[in-house]
Amino acid sequence: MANDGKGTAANGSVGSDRVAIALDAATLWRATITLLRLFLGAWMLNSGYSYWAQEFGWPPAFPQPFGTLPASNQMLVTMVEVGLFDFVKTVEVVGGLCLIFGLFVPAATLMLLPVSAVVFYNAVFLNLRTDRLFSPTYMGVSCLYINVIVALAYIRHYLPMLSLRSTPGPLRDLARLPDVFRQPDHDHNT
Amino acid sequence: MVTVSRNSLKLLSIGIGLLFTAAVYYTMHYNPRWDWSAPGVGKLPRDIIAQFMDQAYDKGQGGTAQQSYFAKDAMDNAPAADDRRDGAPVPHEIRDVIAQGMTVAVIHRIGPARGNPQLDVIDVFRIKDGRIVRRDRYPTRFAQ
Repeated sequence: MANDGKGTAANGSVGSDRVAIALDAATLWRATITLLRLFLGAWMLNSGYSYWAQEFGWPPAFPQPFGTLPASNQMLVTMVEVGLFDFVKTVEVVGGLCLIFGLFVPAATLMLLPVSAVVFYNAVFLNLRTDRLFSPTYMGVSCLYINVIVALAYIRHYLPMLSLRSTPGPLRDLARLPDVFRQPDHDHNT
Repeated sequence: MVTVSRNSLKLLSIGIGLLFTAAVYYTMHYNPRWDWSAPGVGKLPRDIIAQFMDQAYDKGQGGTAQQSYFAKDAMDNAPAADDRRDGAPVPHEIRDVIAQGMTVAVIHRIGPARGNPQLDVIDVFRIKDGRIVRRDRYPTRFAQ
């Protein structure tokens, strides 16, 4: 069940710093999403760290893979050579840290989605790993699945920007940016 | 129903996240699929070849270079090349390097050395897991 947003709920806020947790399906759902978020963050952080670690001579979690088949080799090597991987791996580190520390989670999830999509494309369409399309232990495909599931769990944060019709606001709206640090999301337990 | 501190939940989730991070690092780092001893592990193919050529030609340590840079089952159609034996440095002039994916083509003029005449060649290297797994040498003659 969801928090009614007014205070005490079966699985919601009972005060400013306390939260009541019912042993029900809603709790199970939130726990599952939290674990998926944390695992995705851990994976992204390791992936991004490994790239930068090699650049700085630190021990990486794993050497940067360059794919198995020629098209994958070509794409990954070219991305490194033209410097695009610097951007991608920075996104992975920043996004991964956000997911692990529970900061800007909807934005970080959205930011990581294109990375996960390219990882999936590389695995399935370039390396032709269709045999592992539904293998949960193969992060070449699983990172996209997890990313999409986590994004769907946070969809209420995306709904405002999915407006069918919209108009631009004044530049003074930028002054509202500090608000992102002042609005704790008490609908979430973690 | 249990009541817990919001901060405790937050710290618990961060702890689990850091635990996951350590687990992923450990699992991946010690995965036997990586050959950490390969000199080019995680490096770009063109960089691996540049390092090999530096050692084999500029330093004259071809024997050592081929042992570390060539995979044990590597195919090489120029097994007697000077870049596979130790000796005096071998002068060479790289005219061009073309890299695509894991394939690196080096167009170079190998100067006279170790009793061998000058040689113009195109060496096409194939890299896998940080090592050279194939080298095809195409002798040619540059116009200038």
